[in-house]
Amino acid sequence: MLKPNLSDFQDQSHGTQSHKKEFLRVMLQQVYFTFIQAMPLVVIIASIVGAAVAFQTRFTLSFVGTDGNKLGEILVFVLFRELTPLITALLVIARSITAVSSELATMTVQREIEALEFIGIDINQFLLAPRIAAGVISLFCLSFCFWLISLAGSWISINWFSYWPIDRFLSVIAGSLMPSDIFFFILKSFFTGAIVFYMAARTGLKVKGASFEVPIMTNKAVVDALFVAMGIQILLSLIFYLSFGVKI
Amino acid sequence: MIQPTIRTKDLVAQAKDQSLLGEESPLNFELRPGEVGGIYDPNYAFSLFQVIMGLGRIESGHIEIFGSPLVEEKGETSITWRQLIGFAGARKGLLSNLSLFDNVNLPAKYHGYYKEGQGLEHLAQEQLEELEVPQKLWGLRPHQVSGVVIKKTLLARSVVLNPKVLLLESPFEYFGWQELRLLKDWLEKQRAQKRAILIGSDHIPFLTMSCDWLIEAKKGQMDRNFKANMEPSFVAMAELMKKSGERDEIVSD
Repeated sequence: MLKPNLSDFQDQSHGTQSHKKEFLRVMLQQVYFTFIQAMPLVVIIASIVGAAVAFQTRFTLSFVGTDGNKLGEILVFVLFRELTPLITALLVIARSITAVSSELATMTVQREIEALEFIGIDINQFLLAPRIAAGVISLFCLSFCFWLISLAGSWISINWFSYWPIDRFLSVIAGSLMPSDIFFFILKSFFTGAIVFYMAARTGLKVKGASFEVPIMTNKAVVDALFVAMGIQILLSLIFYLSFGVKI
Repeated sequence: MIQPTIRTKDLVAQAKDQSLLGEESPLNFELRPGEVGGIYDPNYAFSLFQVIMGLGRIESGHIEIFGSPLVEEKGETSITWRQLIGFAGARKGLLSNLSLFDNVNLPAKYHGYYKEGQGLEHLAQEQLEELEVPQKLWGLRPHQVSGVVIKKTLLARSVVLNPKVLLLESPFEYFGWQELRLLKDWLEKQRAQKRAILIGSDHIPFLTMSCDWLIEAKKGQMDRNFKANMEPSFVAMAELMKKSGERDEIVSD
């Protein structure tokens, strides 16, 4: 980048404070789109997934004849460790990665990015960083909500056949959860959110200026994000099982 | 003697969009405060605007802004100095998710720029009012308004940070003859405030009317006597444009 050496240039603005305000504004807006607006979809899918997993587990365990504690462990194992981070990542990719990537690509075509650069607005600070932060926050919140709703779905599904009090159900789940589970759950949300949003934004900004590039780049962003998200899930699960072993 | 705000010497540069500047003839000009320079080729002008903004690479020659040469800086570097330069694109560049007012206010809000004793939004209001954008349109988004309102919003945004240099891409575009007076007055006001103004346009009469000198892309040299070498019909048209809007006063006399 070219720059003059303006030693006598005094920035009269109150930049840092207002940069933070703008960062917060853009971030909260993205959290609204990615987290709040995705909630109805999460409620539906999490309930179905939770109910299906609990039903299948209960059904299979009935042949083996094990106790209810095993059911809790399997729910934690399948839902908390594996399905919740993976499905929420897929939901976010389907909804928000396409949106972020195509939004930034269109902004590039419409010369909005260029105009921002000309105004002296740092694209990384104004567009990228708030979206990445929002991606991390939203994915964690969505995963947490997904987990809670899928548990509710599980409980309803189990109670369809036989009565299982909620307090007993929750105590079995709580007893099966290890601190390492929670740590890796957070880790998966953090890395997946940060990396896929970064990739989506970068891919969107790679458009040179022609509108036909917008769908191409959006497509690329989604496919790349899918591979990366699944890669992160597999890698972190692998690290988890290598560190703590498979305990069911 | 007043120091030039922008000076180039045998400049050949590549802009960020890969376009080459000065490939036919290296670029030479000096733009002083309160002066209006014209570039007869909007694409060429836009390449130059990018280089002035630091978005490009110098192949040979040099360019000075505010007496300091533009030099290559590696890695992350502050771009706050761009507040000194205002830019209005031809028709694109307004953020589609913001209202017209928010678009004009964005630079001031982002940089926290305001006059002492006045609110953050005062500067944006002032500029929109000056360009006679009806207040009822301020809350609309760019796709909901006409080309001339978009143009006025772009011009208003370009001066909201009180820049020392103005880079204008085809400013006359969308302005009808009835509103030409408004644009002329606005340009004169910017000139009176000692802003150095560069205009890129292919509208020869408008450039002839507004500019102190002109650059043709293939020559790369500023020409202060361009009116003398110009087709007389263009000069006559420029004179007519200069007089447009004065008709009301003549009639009322």
